[in-house]
Amino acid sequence: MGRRTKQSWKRNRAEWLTFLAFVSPNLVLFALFTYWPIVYSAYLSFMDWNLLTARGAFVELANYRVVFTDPQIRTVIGNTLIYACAVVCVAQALAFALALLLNRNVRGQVFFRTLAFAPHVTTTAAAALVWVLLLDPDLGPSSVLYNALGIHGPHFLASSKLALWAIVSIGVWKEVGFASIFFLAGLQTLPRDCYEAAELETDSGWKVFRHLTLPLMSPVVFFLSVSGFIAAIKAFDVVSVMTQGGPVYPASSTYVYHLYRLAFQEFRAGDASAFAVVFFVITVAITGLQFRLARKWVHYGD
Amino acid sequence: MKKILHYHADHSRVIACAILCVTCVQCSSPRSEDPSGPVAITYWRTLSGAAGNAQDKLVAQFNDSQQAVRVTAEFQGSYTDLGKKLITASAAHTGPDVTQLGTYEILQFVRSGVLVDLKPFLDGPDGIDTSDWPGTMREAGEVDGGVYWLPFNVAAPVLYINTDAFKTASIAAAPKTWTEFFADTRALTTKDSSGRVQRAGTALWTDVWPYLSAIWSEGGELTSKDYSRITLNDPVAVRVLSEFQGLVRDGAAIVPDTASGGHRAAFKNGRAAMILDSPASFTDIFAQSAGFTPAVAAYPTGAAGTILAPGGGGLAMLAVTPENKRAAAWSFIRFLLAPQQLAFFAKESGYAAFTEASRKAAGDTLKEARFAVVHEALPHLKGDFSINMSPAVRESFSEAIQKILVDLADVNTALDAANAKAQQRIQNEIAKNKK
Repeated sequence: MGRRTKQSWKRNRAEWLTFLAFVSPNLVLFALFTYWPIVYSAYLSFMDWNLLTARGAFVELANYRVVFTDPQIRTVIGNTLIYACAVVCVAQALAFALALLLNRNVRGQVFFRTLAFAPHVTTTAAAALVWVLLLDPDLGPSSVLYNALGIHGPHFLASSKLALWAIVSIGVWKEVGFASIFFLAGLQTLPRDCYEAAELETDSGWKVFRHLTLPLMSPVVFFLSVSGFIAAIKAFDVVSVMTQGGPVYPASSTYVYHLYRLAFQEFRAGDASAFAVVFFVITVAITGLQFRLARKWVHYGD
Repeated sequence: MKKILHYHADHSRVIACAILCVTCVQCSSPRSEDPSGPVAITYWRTLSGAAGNAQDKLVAQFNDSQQAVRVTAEFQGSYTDLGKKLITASAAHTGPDVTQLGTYEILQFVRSGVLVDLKPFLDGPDGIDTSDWPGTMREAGEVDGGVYWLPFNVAAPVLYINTDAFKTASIAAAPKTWTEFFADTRALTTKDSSGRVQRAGTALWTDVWPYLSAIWSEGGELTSKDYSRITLNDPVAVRVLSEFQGLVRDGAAIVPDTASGGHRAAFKNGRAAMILDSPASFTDIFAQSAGFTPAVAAYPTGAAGTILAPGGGGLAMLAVTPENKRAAAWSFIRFLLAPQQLAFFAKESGYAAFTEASRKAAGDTLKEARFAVVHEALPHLKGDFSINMSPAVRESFSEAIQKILVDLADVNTALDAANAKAQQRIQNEIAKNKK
């Protein structure tokens, strides 16, 4: 018995070493560029540090008090939630509709699928620059429309009330194609026999969609909700290129852009780290909530 | 199977060792430098286009002029990008030896020991004669008695005008005073029959810089250099910014967003008849203005005379530069600030040959109208970057200007709030600096 355990351990050890050899390059990179920054940010959140001196001073919870008393935090969190919710909800609704269309045996399906996915693979910074031009009411293509209508179009990016919505529209545009590909993949794996049975029960396409397609697609909706929300609340590049949080800061600033500004424009690395830790906690909490709520509406074919 | 596993295990050890060795070698290999060769100096610079090329030419001239020091110039993007890279480099205790530097970072960098005090070099045997520097420009980079930043690419603000628009509006000359500027802006604005603005009198931007000169020239003051007095709500500032806001309310001024090219694009496209800007934009504006003839005029003057806020950037030496390389780094700075080189840079870039000696060295080439405007403005520069240097003051005032010009907020309320915010935050900054 003892000998067998020893042999098994020897074999396991060899397997472990092989396993470690294969995962270690990735693990090292993750540890260096993901886990260590998280830990270090948590450490910095208790320090008063301006990024320049060798060491900061330990300030206990002072930086967290700054987070919760920051006069701009409400606007920044509000903007981030508006952006994330709008991108996730609107993009998913449009993507689902697009996927349903693409799922029919239309000619040139591959072409349309590629067309739908193209925005997602376009660099956000480049896409944002193109959108800046598209939205310009004096120079962009929209100016032709405004002139034809005899109206002076809105300057989206120069208006505190509209700038955020310009950013949201780009977020939606980029997300629709990505989500539609997942929805389409999901739709194409749905069991045919269920639909054949449903056809015997009802003629209503809406009922089939509501009571069959939607529940069967709920895992895809759930996956896209979680991954899309996490990606959306991290929005930074589109804000940086298009508005820098303005035109009157923080009219269109997101949480991540705000903490970047604190760190690199105001030299408040400690405060920015506290913002980052709070952001991490919020993200984990929202994701946890999404998983908890998922038990009520996500069906895994059971 | 057992053999295969052993084989894999052996291989995995070899791979792990190899990765470790490569990593160690990468980490431990120092920047090799031949002690008998020339001293290698790294220079980080900003500015693209003509001003960037001119700097590269100056570096080549320096390298050709002597054998002892070899400078390598590295472009680091915009002032903001350069600032961020310097912060990152400083955190890692690395970076260039000499850098071009805007004004935002000076104070924080000095307080954190990132910059070298240049005063011993400046006043030493191989120093620079600053007696012909205009106004208080030598004091611009002074902090606590040391000199940490020296002006290099200096800009005096100017007024760009659309000469065709002036002719159409029957205005003979560019406005000389702020009162004339506000009146001309309204007169230059054209509207169609439905009241839509066809061309605004001016396009404004929400940076602090263009308004600072107007406030100073009208007799206002926003901060003292040591921040013991902060008056962002100075009655003169309220009056001046109310005038600018009035232009926006009347449709005589527009405030375009930066991403679309901002005020500069509006002027080049003929959507605005005047802009307040830097002479560094000479090349772009004169080459790209469409359908009209642009010209440069002097910045308007005010009740207190002409007092101008300098723009542009300067030079600094970083504390990471080893002691034995600092003389070489200084020799490069001194070269860039020599009359011949400043004259060359001015001719190539549009920035000012800001010393009397460099203007003489430039000869007739700087007598062309647009260069002359800049050089006549130089004696009026006030070397005070206190608004820029403190993030508390800078961000508070900048946000107030945005609210006033974009959201058309009440000027008094916006400036009172900015002043209160700046005063509260400056106390924190002073307390941190004392620590």
